[in-house]
Amino acid sequence: MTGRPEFGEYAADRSTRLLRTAYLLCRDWATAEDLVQTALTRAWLAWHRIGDDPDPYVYRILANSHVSWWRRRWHGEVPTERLPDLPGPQSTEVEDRDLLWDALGRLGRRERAAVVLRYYADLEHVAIAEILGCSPVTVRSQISRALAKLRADPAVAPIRERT
Amino acid sequence: MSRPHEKEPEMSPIEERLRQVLAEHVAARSAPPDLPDRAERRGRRARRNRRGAGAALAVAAVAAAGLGTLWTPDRSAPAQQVQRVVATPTGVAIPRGEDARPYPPAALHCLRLAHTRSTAADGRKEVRIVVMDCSRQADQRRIDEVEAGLDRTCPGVAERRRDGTNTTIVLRDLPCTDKALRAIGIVVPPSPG
Repeated sequence: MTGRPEFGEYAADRSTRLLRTAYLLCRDWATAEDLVQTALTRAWLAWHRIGDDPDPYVYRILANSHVSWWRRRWHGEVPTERLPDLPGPQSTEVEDRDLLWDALGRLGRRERAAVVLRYYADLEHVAIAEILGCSPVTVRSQISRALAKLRADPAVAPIRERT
Repeated sequence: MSRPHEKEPEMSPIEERLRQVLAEHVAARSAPPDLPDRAERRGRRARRNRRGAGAALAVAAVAAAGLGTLWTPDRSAPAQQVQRVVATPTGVAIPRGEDARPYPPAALHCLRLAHTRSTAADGRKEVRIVVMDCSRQADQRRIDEVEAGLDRTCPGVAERRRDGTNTTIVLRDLPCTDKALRAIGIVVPPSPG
């Protein structure tokens, strides 16, 4: 395969960032690793067809696989030994982070994907639209809806008050 | 794809915090060093499987085509591809039994042929010979042959109407018709009427 060395370089260079993005989408490191491996495998198979910038292609696979896997898997109750603590009135910086993280988890999949690609992957609306297969206007509205939900989330209120 | 952009000046505190939270949550974790190799190995395996499946499919297709050839009647043998004609008072019917006669080999292009007697709009009797299920181009030659044969025996025949894959040749000279049909190899049984 002619693109093989390029693929090796690309994968070595981007796998950490892809893994972190995948984790932010699915919130589970093992699933994130599977997602990245799937995305890179499919990118390798199509490497000769991918243009100069493989990022949109790989991110698209990542986002689509995340959505389709989520549909297929069980998302009901999961037993846990640890009960989450309720947020107290004197939240620390770490608690702020966790509160916002939990609130992010309550967003819809598409909204969370848009937020992650915008605020973690630092992509423009046009690029996000290309990845998610929708228009930039839709991306913009998804992000603003997600931010509105976060602002309205009661758990995020303490952060809002401090900022 | 656009790269990291400059922070927008109007970024709200919650957006700033969101950016920090996302970065902090994943900062400690890196991809396993063998992840790209694993992906490539999986890709190679997938490609091998895909090619294997493609080859198997091709073999199956060739085998199916071979079997299909064996089971399909030989179209070059006239006795096996019989075209039939019958006289019927109305409509078009394809006969069975001893009235059926094999058509000359040249007729094998079209699947069916029949003729019927009827009264035209002007009150005159006519015989319509319908060559059915003929493709538009490939079988035009056969229709020309039929028409020419009829025309040779009964001059002044041939009004031709095309309707989809059927072609109707109209003959007005009834006494001559049977002779004409016989001349081109079509044996007509006596009309029930």
